[in-house]
Amino acid sequence: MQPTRDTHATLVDLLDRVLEKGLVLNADLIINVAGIPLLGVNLRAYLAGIETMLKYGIWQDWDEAQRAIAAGERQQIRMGEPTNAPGLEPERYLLSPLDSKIAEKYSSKEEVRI
Amino acid sequence: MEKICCAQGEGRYVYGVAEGDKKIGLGPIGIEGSEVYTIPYGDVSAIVHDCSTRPYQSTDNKMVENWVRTHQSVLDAAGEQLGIVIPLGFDTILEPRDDATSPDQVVRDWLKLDYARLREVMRKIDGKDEYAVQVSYKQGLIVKRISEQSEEIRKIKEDIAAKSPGMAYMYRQKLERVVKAETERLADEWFMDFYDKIKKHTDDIAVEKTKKLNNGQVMLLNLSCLVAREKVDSLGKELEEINNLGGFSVHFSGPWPPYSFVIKPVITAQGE
Repeated sequence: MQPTRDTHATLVDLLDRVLEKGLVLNADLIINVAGIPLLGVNLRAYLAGIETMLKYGIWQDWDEAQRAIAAGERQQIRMGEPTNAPGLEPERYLLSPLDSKIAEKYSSKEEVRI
Repeated sequence: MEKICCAQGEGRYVYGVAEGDKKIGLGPIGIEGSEVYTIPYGDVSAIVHDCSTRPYQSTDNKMVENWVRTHQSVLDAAGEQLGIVIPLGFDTILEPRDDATSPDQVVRDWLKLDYARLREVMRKIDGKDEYAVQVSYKQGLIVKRISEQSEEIRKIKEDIAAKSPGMAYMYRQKLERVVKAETERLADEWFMDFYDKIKKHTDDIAVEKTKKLNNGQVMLLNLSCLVAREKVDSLGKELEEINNLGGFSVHFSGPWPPYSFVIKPVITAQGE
């Protein structure tokens, strides 16, 4: 059996890796958006961090304090073993600034994947 | 706080870190046609392009997909030209400092700071690539197989046929539970069996979360494998055997840069 790099067959594998993995840099060296360091941006883990907060009822208002929590959670996710890395479905990968619209969208979602 | 400013060309988008002590141009192969080049420190070089301090963000999935594919193709090109490449994740942009330090110097300072770890990671991944391996089974086929083989299930089915509709309902519920438990037990067995078989051909292995599949398939295991180049054929043969068992299907993709085996965070004195 030969491994494939066919662009259609491997899109999910590619996204899983490029968006969620790779070498992590020290947070104070890299660009920050809204107080959340972009460690290889990883919006999927980023959003999963929000889902984690929703699950544990931490979510109240999207204010500075919670951004700090999100940053912390992302940091933990990134630093965890690969098995801990949460993955959202590929069609949900979405890169946009975190704002109340995203908060609304994800707060209404039933399934919480950790 | 969110950055309002976005000075052009002050940031450095970093694709990866390669071996090499020379500044090399790789051409306009970067994201949105950016010129990709290397910034060396000692015998390691960051693969970068100049960018604004605003990260690449979009809600357009197609655009993001193109960026991600380009990120990957730059690493492929760098690997061909430079050898060992440590991949970074998408959108890692080094921030310019407030002082007069040049953006390239910021990159060099980082390479210097993390030099020992970068060399350690390079040693680990030298001559190896990452492969994604997923094994799935057909749910229907497995349920059928269990039903045929389990004495307990055969007995419950007999009971259902003999009972009144009300009782039969209860027995069907029981049947469901038994089939589910048996499927889980078997899935655990297969998991361990396949995992051990695959692991033999790898230098390192990471168990990833399984994904939901449609088309009646259930993903049994999802692995990232770090594989020495000379062992890829033997891994392929092993996977072929699993694929030929009947009822199982194997997805095998790669070679990828070893994204899953370089993610240990770099801890420095200033680290968070």
